[in-house]
Amino acid sequence: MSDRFRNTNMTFQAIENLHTVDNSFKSIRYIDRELANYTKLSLQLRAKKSGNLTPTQLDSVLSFHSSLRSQIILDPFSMEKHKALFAQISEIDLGNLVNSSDQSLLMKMSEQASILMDRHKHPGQDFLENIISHLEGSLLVTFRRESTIHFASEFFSRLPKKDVFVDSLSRKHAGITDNNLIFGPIHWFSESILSNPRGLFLFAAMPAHLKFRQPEMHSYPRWFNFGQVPIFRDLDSTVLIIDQDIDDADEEIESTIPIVWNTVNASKSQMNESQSLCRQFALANGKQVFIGIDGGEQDFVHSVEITRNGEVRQIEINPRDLRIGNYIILREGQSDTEVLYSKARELIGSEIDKIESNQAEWKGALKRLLQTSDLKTLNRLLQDKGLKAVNRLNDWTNPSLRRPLRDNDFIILLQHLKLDVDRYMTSATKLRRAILQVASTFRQQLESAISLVNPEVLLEEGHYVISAPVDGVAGLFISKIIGVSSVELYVDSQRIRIPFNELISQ
Amino acid sequence: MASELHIKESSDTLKMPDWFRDLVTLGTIVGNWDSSNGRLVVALACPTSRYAASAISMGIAWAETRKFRSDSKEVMFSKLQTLSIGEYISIRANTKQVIGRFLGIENHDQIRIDGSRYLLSRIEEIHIVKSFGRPRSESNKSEMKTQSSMNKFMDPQNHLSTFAQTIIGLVGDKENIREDFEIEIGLRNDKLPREPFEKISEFVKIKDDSRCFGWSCELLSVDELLLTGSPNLDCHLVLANNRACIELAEYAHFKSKVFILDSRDSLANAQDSIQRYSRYCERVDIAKISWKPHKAFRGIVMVDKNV
Repeated sequence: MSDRFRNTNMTFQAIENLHTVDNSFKSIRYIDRELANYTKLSLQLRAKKSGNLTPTQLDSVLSFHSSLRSQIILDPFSMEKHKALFAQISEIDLGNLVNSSDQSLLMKMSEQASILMDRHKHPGQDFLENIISHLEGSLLVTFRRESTIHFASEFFSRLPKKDVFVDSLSRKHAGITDNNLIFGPIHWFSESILSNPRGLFLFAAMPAHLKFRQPEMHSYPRWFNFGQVPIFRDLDSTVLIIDQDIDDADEEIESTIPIVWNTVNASKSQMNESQSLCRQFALANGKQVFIGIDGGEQDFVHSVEITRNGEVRQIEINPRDLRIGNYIILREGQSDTEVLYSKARELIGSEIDKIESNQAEWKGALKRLLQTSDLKTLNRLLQDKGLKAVNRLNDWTNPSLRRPLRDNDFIILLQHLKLDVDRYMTSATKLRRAILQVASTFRQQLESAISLVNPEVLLEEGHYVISAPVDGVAGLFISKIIGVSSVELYVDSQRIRIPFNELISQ
Repeated sequence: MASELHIKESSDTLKMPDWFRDLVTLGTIVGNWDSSNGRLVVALACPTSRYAASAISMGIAWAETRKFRSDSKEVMFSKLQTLSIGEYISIRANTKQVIGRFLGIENHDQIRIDGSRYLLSRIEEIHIVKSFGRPRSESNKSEMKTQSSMNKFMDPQNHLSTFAQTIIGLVGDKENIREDFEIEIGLRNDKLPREPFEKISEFVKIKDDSRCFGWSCELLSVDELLLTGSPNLDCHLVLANNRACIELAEYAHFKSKVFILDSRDSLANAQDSIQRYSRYCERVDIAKISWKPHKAFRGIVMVDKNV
């Protein structure tokens, strides 16, 4: 029989799949540390291309690195052209072209580029080899460039799995397969690969270090859409992160269960300065958490790993490197402020009476000011003086809020109240520090208990609670990450790293 | 278990999928549209335009056939008098259906179809078959019940209980589109594997025939279409060609226009032309034409009053 009609019918089935939770589009992110390091170096560069019609030597160097990065991400088979160019690029003396910091970065990038180009297998090939054995049924791998097809066909012909086909963005492959793996960031491809799918199940594979962007299916304008939202606007893909080093990819594939992401307290664009870009994680204990990902190289999340000897060992993982299967340590809710305060009083000792009196004085003065002023005028006045958190004036009259977070805000406020800045600032800061110290001491005690965690329970249940020795102080819990959201969202700083229930409250 | 609608391609059959049925239904909506309200224009983007033109054409043909249904002997008689000798007609009496060439009226109460004569008083329904192929002249074995249920989901407004056995697949000009028309529609019971496929329609590709009332083309220039087809206001346009859509959007020919845009191609230019055309038209809410499109479809429905 001619499969023409059946093929067309399968295309429609694939569209149906995209509108379901279970079979919708999935992103697979693989971790290649060398490629990630190479890319991260380029982000630190300050040097820019000249924009001149005739490229400068610096333009050539920058273009080489940019092109190599794209080449590796989109085409894991051929770097011959870049290898040939590399010799010329290496001869360029950067000393007079860029500042010393960029020069050092470019030299490091050249070293990394050399390592990447000399690898036996290019980044992405290992991953392809690994992932295609886990995808049941026929597979179509779509690359962006037509020039990749030849090398890709050769590569796949050497692998044991036989029903693998290759295609490019020109979409010459007419048949439809069980799976279509799109190689490269999905937003680098044209929309037709999703609106006219060539696989019943769609996956996109990209290196984990790239900023993930949701496929934006906006090409049908609103007026051309029967008055509905554009097709696939709400397409929510599950993200699966695979580390090339690990062997237990089976387990990870199973864990791509559909997760209902509770994004009530997050937004797609930054609404105010206190919001940070976060990735959302689903945990084994049914909770979810936002973790900031723009904290730079030094930012980390306390985590544990279970060693080969079956011991629980504390480690630190950069938030961008967190993936399904990691065990992260988080605080279980908020500590009772009264409990912390009473412990802080003990810690401060006799001086506490003076501190409490000072606190009462400036808070009393603030309360009186608020009662006698027009709030709008007062806000504008303080804002003009440089106070940033003007909307918190009322909150600061609350005794449990020890002082404004920013020193400068506190100074402006005290000056406006015509109070002695040093006196009130010192005592409030001392009180806050004591409370933080108490919390920190409790946390250290809790963390020291992590080494006593039973790894079997942790493995079996996916989470483990370490209760605080004092009632009212938040305990810790260790939980396995079972899902990583496909989108990055902006979240208020006070909600970051605070676990919440996955169910959206009514 | 009753027989269900199937699509047959070569020797294999497949239950008619929802998306295909939705397209046939759209065709019946276009075919049933009252032209006095203006020209109905539908632009539809789908993952692949393959078969979409066939399915919509089938719906249009279905609806056009229904329009010749007569409720009384007088109306039936007057309609028959307008028929040319040799045109194909279909009659039904009870469960029996006959399709053949109309050869005239005899003795004021008999209709001659091929070599047989039938009493007008015994005929329950009569249709003029819009067909360029030679319809099968044998009796339709389908039970009334099945036909009714088929009507229900194909065209809820249509009370047609017989069906012309050859449906026109409208015109194409390139050989590769012929393959899209090489499907048949019929009834089959999946529970009974030996049950034969009972063909109720097939698609016929026609080219350069002045009697055609519709067009479907994949790669056809406007000049070619206007020169070879002599389209007029009795003619529906079913166009599966993003490029030609740009050129044809504003032509004041045709009874209705259906532009099928294939999302494999860039839609930007086609959408621009449709948006430009929409300025002369009145946009219609999809609910008003009683069509619920498949999830994969996007588009716009308009009425062009400049007829």
